[in-house]
Amino acid sequence: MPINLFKLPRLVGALVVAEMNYQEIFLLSLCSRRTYSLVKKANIKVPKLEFRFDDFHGCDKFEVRVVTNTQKWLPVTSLLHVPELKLETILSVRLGLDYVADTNFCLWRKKGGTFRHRMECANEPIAIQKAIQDHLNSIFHYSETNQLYLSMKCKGSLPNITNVGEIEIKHKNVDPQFLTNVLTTYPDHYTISVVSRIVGEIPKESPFFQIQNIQVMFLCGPDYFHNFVGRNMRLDWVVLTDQDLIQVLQKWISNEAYENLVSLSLSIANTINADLIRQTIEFEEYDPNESEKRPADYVIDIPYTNFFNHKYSLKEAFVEIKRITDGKRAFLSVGATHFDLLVDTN
Amino acid sequence: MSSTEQGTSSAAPAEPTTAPESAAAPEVPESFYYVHGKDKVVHKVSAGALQHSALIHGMISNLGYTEEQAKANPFPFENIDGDILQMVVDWCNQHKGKPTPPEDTNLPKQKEKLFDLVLAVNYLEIKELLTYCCKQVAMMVKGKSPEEIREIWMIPTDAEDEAAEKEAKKRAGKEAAGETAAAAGDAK
Repeated sequence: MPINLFKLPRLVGALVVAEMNYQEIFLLSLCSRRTYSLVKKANIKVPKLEFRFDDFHGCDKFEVRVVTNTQKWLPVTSLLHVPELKLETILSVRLGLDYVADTNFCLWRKKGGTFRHRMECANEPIAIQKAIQDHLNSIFHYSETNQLYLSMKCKGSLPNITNVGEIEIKHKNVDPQFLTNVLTTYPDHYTISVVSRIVGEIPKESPFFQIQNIQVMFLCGPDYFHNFVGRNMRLDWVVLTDQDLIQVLQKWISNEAYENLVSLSLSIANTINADLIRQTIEFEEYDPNESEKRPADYVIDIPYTNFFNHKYSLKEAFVEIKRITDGKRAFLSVGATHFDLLVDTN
Repeated sequence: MSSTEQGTSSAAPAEPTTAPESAAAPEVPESFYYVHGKDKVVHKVSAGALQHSALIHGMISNLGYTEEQAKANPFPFENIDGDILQMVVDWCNQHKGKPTPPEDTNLPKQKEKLFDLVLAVNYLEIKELLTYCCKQVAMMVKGKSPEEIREIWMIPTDAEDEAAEKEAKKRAGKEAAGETAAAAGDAK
């Protein structure tokens, strides 16, 4: 039994939209100019949008998700760039008020009863990608920065989206030139997570080292943290020497470098001499009788992917060091295969 | 609980009952009001149940009717079908004095009545029931493609909207021309 949506009072129509999930809202907004307008009036907001550029059976897939405040994701739409439409049944979709695209539309039910859809489209990727982003920004009244996931398996050019704050690169290898291309294409970046192998040396003057938050999940060398001028760095598999770490600490203490540093967290591929490193600096150990001198925990709130150690307990494992010039303190934990330097920002 | 005072409503007549009170609570006599819809069938509803409706609650809060006065002056809702009003009254009674659960299994399931129910609930300003109804309406298009959504919610295509708009403009133009001609005729 159908219901005439537009015969309901406008406020009720908006309430109905508010009861739909993001994917359904997107599909409703495609139905006509009036539904697009209704969705906009419902004033639905999203916490954060993530654009994912991935490979799907040899074609580039452009997918959009909502990332919730608890770092869960919810589907919005998925677009497959195909050379030509294979099915005769065409769904013509209007994105925004002007852009029209012919698509092959498929929708399926997943285990657990949730639904997914995918639109296959042969239009110029950069045009439809922009149209989708504009459409979503419009219906969700969204102007915050976006997350971008890039799979190195994709063949097409970088997605045509703007306002990218967080970037994740995954699969295969990346070279420094590609990284530079990515960073210049998306100049609003402030966080990057590289889960691909970086092949070749990144020049010291590369914009890569200017990024505020960096995570590298593959083997890298000490040049990454020597050249870093941002706030947070996490290297998951780094080869270095004791001297490399001593140099970091001395430069931070003397304020010769790392002025903006907030956290440096290293998982070390080789073994280092933690005692030797500690002997080269002045530090204060944790005193359980004066536990109030430090915060109990230290939280790093960076939306890196695969980042499991957001919260550190600042007890016996950490010693306290001070920067000479301004007395700023930091908490240091160094072991045979790890190094964590957490600057007190309070 | 509602009782049918007149007419031929399908609802079984019954004496009003009150929600069980705690033993310690003092007995406060419950006041009742009377409402009727398009079919003139009068429903007796307690003030507690009617609190769900912001509209009726606003109407009765300052009346101070006696039982006789309330009986003699049922609230008329001529724009609401009798069976829909019955559903609303039943829902209000079932949820009298209770916090409404996130998922309401007591919601009327008749899809064909849903549209009228939404309109009635919206008119009577029953916030929780309206939310449930809107959820039911939204559920109708779960897992549907844009084309199916168009069909289920009777959404015209842009071309149909444009044609309707043109037609409306044409009609308005004709009416305006007719009025001008009539006015000119009157002036003569």
